[in-house]
Amino acid sequence: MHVRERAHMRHLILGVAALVALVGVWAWLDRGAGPSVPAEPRSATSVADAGASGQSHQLKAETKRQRGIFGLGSGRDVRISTAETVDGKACLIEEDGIGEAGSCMEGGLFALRKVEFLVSSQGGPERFTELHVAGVAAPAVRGVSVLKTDGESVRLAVNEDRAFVYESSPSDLAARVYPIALRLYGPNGKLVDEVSFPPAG
Amino acid sequence: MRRLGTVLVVAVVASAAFGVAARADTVYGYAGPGEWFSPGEGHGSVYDNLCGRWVDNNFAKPSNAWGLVTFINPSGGWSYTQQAYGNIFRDLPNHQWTKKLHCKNNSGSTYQGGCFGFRRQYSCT
Repeated sequence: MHVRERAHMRHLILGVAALVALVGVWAWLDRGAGPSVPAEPRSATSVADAGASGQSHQLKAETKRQRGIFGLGSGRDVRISTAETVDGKACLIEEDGIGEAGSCMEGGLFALRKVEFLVSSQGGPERFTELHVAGVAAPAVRGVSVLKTDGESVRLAVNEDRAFVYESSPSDLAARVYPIALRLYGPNGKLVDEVSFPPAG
Repeated sequence: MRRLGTVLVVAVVASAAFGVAARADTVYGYAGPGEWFSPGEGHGSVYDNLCGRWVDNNFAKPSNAWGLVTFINPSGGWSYTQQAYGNIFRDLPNHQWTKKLHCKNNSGSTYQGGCFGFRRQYSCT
C-alpha cells in the first residue's frame, strides 16, 4: 500500500471508530428498547370514541401559526401558537421551554368564548411554585385584564396578534392569590366579556 | 482500500440507524371515554416504571368543559399541570422519573370525558 493511502486509511478507521464510540455512548445513555423495531407513529386506536373523543392531537403542521413569545420570571420564554388538528379542531398551543401543552376545540377557537387560554402551573396541589395564563383573544377584543381572588384586576399587554401572558408573582403564590377570570375589552375600551375559571387546582 | 473504507463507513452508519429506531409509544386510557366527571372528580393512572414511562397526558372533553391534567410523583406532588377548556394535552420534556397521570374536573359543572396517556416502552432486562 502506498504511504499516502495508508495514512488515509488510518484516518478513516480512526474517524469511524470515534463515530461508533459516540453512537454507543448515546445509545447507552438513552437506553432504548433492545430489539430493533421501527418507531411507530402515535395512535389512539385503543381509545374508542364516545362523545368526548379520545383522539390524540395530531396537528397539521402547515396550519401552525406563531402568535407571540413572552418572557417568564424564571428566564424561560413562552411561545404561543395556534394550529388545526387533522380532524378539524382548532388548538391553542404553548411551548414554554419545558415541553408543549395545549387545548383544542370543536368548531373554531372562538366559537364559544372571545378568548382561548391555558393555565399552566408547577407544584401543588396545595401550594403552587409557578403559575401563568397564556392565551389569544378574538379579533374584536383589544384589551385583556386578569381578575384575581383578592379582587385586584391587572391589565395585560396584548400584542398585535392579540396574544398575552399573565404570570402570578411569588408573593401571590405564597398567599394563594390566583387568577380567576379574564376580562375582555372592545376597541372603545368597554368590557365586552368576562370569562371565569376556577382557581388553580 | 478506498472501497473497503467506503464499505466500513456505510456499515457503521447503517448499524447506528438500526440501533436508534427502537422505541414505540402505546396509548392507554385511564378514564372513559364517556366517563361522567362530577365537580371535583378526578381519575388517575397507575404509576409508571423503568420498563415503560408516561410521556404525556390528555383529557378529552367538550369545548365548554373546564378541567386539568397533571403528573403526580410518589410523594403526591403535582408537576406540569395544565388547565383549559376543550381537549387538553401536555407533553413532558423529560419523562425519566416515576409518576402517574391524573385528570380532574375542577369546575362546578358535570360533563363527560376521557383521559389517556402515551407510554414509552424501554428494555429493562
